[in-house]
Amino acid sequence: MGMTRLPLALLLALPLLARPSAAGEAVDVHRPAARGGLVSIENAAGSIHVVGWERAEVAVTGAVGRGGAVNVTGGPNRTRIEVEADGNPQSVHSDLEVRVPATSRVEIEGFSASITVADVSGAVRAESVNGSIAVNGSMTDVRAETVNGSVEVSAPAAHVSAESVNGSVTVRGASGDLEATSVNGRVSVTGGTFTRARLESVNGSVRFEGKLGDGGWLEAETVGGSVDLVLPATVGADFTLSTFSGEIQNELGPAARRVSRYTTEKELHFTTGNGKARINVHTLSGGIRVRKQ
Amino acid sequence: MTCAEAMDRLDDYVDGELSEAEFQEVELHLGMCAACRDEERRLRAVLAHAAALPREATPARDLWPEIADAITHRPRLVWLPRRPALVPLGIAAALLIAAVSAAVLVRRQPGPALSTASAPVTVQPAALTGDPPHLLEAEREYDRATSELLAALNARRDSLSPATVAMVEENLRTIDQALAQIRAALRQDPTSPELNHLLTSTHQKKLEVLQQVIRLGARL
Repeated sequence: MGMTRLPLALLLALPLLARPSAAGEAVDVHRPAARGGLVSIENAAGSIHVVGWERAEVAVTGAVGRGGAVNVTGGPNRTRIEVEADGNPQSVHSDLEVRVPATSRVEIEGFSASITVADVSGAVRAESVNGSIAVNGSMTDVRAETVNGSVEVSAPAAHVSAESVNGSVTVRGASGDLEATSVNGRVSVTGGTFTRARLESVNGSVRFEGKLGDGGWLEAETVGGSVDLVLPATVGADFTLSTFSGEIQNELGPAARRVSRYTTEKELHFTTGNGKARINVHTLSGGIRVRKQ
Repeated sequence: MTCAEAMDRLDDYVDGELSEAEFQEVELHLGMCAACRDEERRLRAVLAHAAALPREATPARDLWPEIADAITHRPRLVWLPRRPALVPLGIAAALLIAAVSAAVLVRRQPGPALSTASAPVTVQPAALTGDPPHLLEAEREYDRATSELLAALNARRDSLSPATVAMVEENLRTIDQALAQIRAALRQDPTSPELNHLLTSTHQKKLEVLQQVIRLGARL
């Protein structure tokens, strides 16, 4: 590409390009960064540890695997950190610690990499394939997904989407909108007041402990796992619970009944308080427990 | 992009009429905003409902003998299910969403041809003989969508480690086993809205898993 065709933004960013680190070397790169700016990080294999701090600066430290190099590009409002590899990126194992202004928005992509984010208050988006994800801080918006590994979110976020295929999903302290799903793992949510919560696991159990606002809804669904809801005794909700071959235990309302004399299916429909929230729970062979907080 | 801006473009986004840059902007916003994602899902569901509605409803055969027989032998059938209209519509919507999603994904994954060096990810056939006709039809559609996604995944399998492929296959088997259990339950109670819903959502989960693996794997 000729220089005349380079976009202006890239030309402006050229002076900020970090010299690629030598293979297998320690990395220590510092760049000015705006508070509230976007920091995006890509590291195919190894680990990515992001920590918020009070400085208006991004700092990348750690070790880059043999055959790899860290490039830091962009400007103060948008910093991009990428581990580049000569060959297969998955064969370059790099462990990075990235300090970012605490109010930054952070986007992280790993492949065979574990990801942790701490002390950040901006929106966080983290994705990996083989690796766990742990997000801990005061962020208001979190999206974390992996295929093989656990996902843990501990944040007072108003929007959380946490997904794993083969691992547990744990959300603590969130409220508002929530989606937490797994195929082969436990889904556990403890938090504040939710407006919408969708919890799913195919083979794992689902546990929810929290409140629902007026007009809020909670949907929990499993095939083989149990569902355990822990709700305030004063919850005002319309409940629909069903299990095909499990049991239903209910501390908030009437007992379940079988819906057919031909099958073991049980269902329970009841309303508590003002009935303004809606709670639907369906499972095939798992039990359902509704308990008072 | 704000939520209001995303909503303004949502119709064109779903219809595939945005420029690539606008499409990427909206997709980025949807990736970060659960509320707008829900709105997108609702819009797709409405469109799917509308598209799935028949121009006229003429039964392919005389259904009354089976219905009369069912009323005679299955007392529960005389009760109206809580969501009588939503169950088939929900399945139709899910099928269309699945088919559209699969088509979109496959279109965006012009990867190499199916590798012959390693065995492709496989999937159990869904439909079993003896299932109710509406389930057979639904499962055929899900099988078709699943097959397209598996083809896209197999085109990308070289970018995944053998351990990841094995794990994905194991989880697909877990879902297949769950589907088999749900089908067995449905044979006992074909009219259960909850079981129909569970079958649909479990199929949907399988598609979502495949989409997730393809999307995350495609980054390398």
